[in-house]
Amino acid sequence: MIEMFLWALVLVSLMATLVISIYGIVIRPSLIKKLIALTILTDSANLLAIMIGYRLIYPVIPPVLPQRTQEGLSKFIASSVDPLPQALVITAVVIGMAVNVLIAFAIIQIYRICGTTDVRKIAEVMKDGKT
Amino acid sequence: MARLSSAIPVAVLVFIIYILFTGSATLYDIITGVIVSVACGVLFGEFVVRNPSKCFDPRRWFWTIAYFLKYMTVIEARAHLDVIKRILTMDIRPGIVKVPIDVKNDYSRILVAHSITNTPGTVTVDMDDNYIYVNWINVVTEKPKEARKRISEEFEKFAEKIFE
Amino acid sequence: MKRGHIIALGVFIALILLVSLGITFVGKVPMTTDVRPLGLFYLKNSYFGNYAARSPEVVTSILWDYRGLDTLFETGVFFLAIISALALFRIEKKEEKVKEKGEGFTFIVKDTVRIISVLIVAVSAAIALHGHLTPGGGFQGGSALAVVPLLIIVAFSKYALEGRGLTKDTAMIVRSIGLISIIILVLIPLAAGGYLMQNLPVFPSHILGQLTSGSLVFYNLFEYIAVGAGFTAVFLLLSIPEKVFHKIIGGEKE
Repeated sequence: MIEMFLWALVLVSLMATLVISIYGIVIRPSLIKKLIALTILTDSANLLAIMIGYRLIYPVIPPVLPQRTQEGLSKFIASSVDPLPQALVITAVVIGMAVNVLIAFAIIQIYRICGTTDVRKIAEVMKDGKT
Repeated sequence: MARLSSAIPVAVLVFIIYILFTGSATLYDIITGVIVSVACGVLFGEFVVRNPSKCFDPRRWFWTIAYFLKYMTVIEARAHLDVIKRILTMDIRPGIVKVPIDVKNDYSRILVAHSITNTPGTVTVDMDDNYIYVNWINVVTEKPKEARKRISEEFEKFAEKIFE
Repeated sequence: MKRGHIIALGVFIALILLVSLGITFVGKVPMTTDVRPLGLFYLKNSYFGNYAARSPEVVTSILWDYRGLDTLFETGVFFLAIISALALFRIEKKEEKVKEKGEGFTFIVKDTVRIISVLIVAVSAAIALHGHLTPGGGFQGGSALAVVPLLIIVAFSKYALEGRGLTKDTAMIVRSIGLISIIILVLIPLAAGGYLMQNLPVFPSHILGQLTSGSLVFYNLFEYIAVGAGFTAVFLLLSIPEKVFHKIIGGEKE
């Protein structure tokens, strides 16, 4: 029972983190804070994907074949976690890093041109044509 | 020629780290390890080693091993016991003292500085040409000569034998 | 923290606890104790079986064999993201060196970075080249490799790297070499009469009696080079002093 509660607690906390990061992306006016919220969103989404592939058994091992024999294989299948979410997440992490770099570059360039990262002020600066 | 001889010690170091990190020594590990270590040696040789002839001196290696063993057992244990005692009794007099340093070589000065930082109770704060500034948990003396005797004399003795 | 913030935080934590308690006692917690059929297929076939990639590391065999095309196009996304970042920071005039002020770090930091950077290269190569045997692979190794130029930029300066020949352009050339090699590896099976990105039996599963899992080790190697060099180019661009951009753009105030 306590096991189920802890598992549910982790899942609900992850969902709450997702909701908070979406709030941050939508409500916060600073572009930097939007980027931080976006990284939190991608990381918690990745963690959720990994947790879906987890197996609540004991013992549980990573998806790397320990002994290269037929008996080792049957033992491995009985206790290994799902490899598919991990394979999806590893590319998502690196691509996410590259996309974050691109967004950060864009924010830096916006700051250089407009002198601010506040979306409301950027709109004003652009309207006045003060660049 | 200088490039080649400074590449060899770096390549050996990289090969050892590679095999230790991999944790196995099959033919595949050894072949890839040799390729990686040769590439690293050629690329980083002059960046890391300035005076390659020192690397081939067995006496320096002997002193390195002797220093490592003594540091990890005797010196660390002594410093840990001292700090544990001070934490339990709260008998501390923290402060920054100025300690003279005699060794001139860059790597030996780094060895002394890191040795001071790694022992509990003393932390290297800054260093200039003749002095190290050490944050000390128990300042018994502010005189540079005596502080040196208590903090860094032993390290310097070994550093001189290893790198000078 | 203001008082309102503390109350909001308390309510929020209480809400999370209540919801998870509710799920535990009333609803049903999604707890899996067995693998889904698709995952089971990969676990069974990764090393043994008719559809084997001959790799004990199931994640790598999914990445570069079973779902190879996905990873190929993700590499394309990575390529585009870095290319567009470079396009944003394009400097058309030749960049002039900004005179450095101050003393920089003490030599304790600098010489320690010298030694550590060599060790990081060794470790990252070990991660990348054993991607088909142990957890790790090209993406992870490349990210670890990119730490080295970052450390050198922080401890010395950007000009220390560029003085040794590692400019943005050389990084991009190395990266292109890695990507072109990946594309050639994708096309080799077509020439040999197989289909796109086929692994076994076009590539040998053992070389000199050592397990290399067909093309997996080569894909990992070139991905390692491409990712490491790509991030190096990005870090070099990020470390261009702000003064250079002031001169070019000229709009922003101090």
